[in-house]
Amino acid sequence: MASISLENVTLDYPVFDLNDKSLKRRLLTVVGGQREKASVIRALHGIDLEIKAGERVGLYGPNGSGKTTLLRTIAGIFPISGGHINSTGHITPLLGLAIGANKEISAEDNIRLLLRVDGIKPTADVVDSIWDFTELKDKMRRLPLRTFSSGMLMRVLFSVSTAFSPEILLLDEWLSVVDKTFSKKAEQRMEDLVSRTKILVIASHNINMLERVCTRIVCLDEGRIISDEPVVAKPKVEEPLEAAVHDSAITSPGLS
Amino acid sequence: MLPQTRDADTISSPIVDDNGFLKVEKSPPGVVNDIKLAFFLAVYDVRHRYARSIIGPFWITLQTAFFVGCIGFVFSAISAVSTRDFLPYFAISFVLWSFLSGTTNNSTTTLLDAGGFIKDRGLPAYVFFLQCFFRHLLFLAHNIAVPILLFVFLGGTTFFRVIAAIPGLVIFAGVTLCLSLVVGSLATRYRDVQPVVESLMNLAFLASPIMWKPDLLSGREFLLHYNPVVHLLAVWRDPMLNGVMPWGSFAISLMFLAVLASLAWYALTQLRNAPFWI
Repeated sequence: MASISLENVTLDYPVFDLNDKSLKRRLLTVVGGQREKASVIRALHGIDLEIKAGERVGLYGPNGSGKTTLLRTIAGIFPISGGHINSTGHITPLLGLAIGANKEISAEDNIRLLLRVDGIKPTADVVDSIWDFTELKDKMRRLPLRTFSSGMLMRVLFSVSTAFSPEILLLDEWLSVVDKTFSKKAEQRMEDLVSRTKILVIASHNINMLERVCTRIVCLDEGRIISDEPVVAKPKVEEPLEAAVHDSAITSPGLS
Repeated sequence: MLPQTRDADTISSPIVDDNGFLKVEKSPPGVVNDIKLAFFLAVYDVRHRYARSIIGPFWITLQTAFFVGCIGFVFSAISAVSTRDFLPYFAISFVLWSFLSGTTNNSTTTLLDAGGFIKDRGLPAYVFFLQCFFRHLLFLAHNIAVPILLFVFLGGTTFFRVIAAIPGLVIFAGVTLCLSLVVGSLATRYRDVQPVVESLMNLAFLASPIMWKPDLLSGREFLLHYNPVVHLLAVWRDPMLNGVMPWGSFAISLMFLAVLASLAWYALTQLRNAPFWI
């Protein structure tokens, strides 16, 4: 059973300026007797968060409120300074679509590479099926990614990233493709993906999207949870996909 | 319009489920998986660097052959030894030294290049040091063709001597891996380390018997005794070329390896902070 439990978690984020990044200066200060500690920003303050299987949690807050930091902490990327984290289930952080893509190598090889990174053996069947989803011409498979337009590149990256439904999915912003013809399909894929993951945690400053997708919204400000409320069930919208396409005005992260 | 597109990509394929998701089991995360990933990334590095050439990665071999040939002729003349004697000696020394120095120099930037993988995909940082090590091991596998050919045509070693060199080579590779972990971690945390490492590697190359033979220093042997690189070279080169086991060098190299391994272990424990450094 998938679950995430954070108990009084604090995270101190060391901010290294030029001096702190220099071994020479560090040694000199040690020799000189004046020992300065690198400045630390407390990025998360006593976070308590219980997420059970089936929940879809939206992290909402302004820039710098600690949304992405909290995601990285849940994923175990940042070591915490205090408190406890317990999670069961395999966590897949997907905090940027373009991560790891190599523009010099072919689209097909990029698919294989990104699959490997996810721990999946890139068999021919798997690669074919991902390529089919992109709806791009077959001859483009062997072209290097740098020859792709940004829309086509997004299709490829989106198709790989969403080909599998992970147990626990951490997203920084809703993944979407701006491409008109592809976006409906992409939105549908995202909805399916979200409905199949046991736990979704998604950070965004688009409250409309969060209310549509999530069952619970956690508001963050300056590294603290300021509210944690379930989303009141709204009557099902007639045509959910239209709304979805409208929301996808936010560009996908990681490609800026 | 929408249902059609959905149907189109969910035609009952054996590997795709009703929602169009692939039905594939992920390999369980763990050290074995990390090593496999590192090796895969390294193979990709080598393959794609030479993707658009016919002889592919054998450009590496050709480059090395050219360098070894030119320097071999010049330096055998400078140190007044026969070229026939000097070429295989220089080739094998240079190729293995390039492995050590290449891995170490490369390790100083490898985490910075993999920033996204570490911060946004949560891959452990040490994977990229392994990738760097494997990449240079693959370069070595291509380069080694040069000394092998020279040994075959000019002589200088025997099959059994090569077998006797294996323990020394294992120590050499172990030192390379540990050194790259230590230096790489330090250089990622402190950005002014990288140029220092680079110049130290150059210094070590010139000050150690790679482009010249140790007997050139007769009368000033102390210059060899205090140089750890000399012992690291001796542990495999002496059995391979001279058929002797340099036990003293073995002891020093093993101690050196032990120190580096404990530093590497410490570096590994510190690498959990790597996402803050990048």
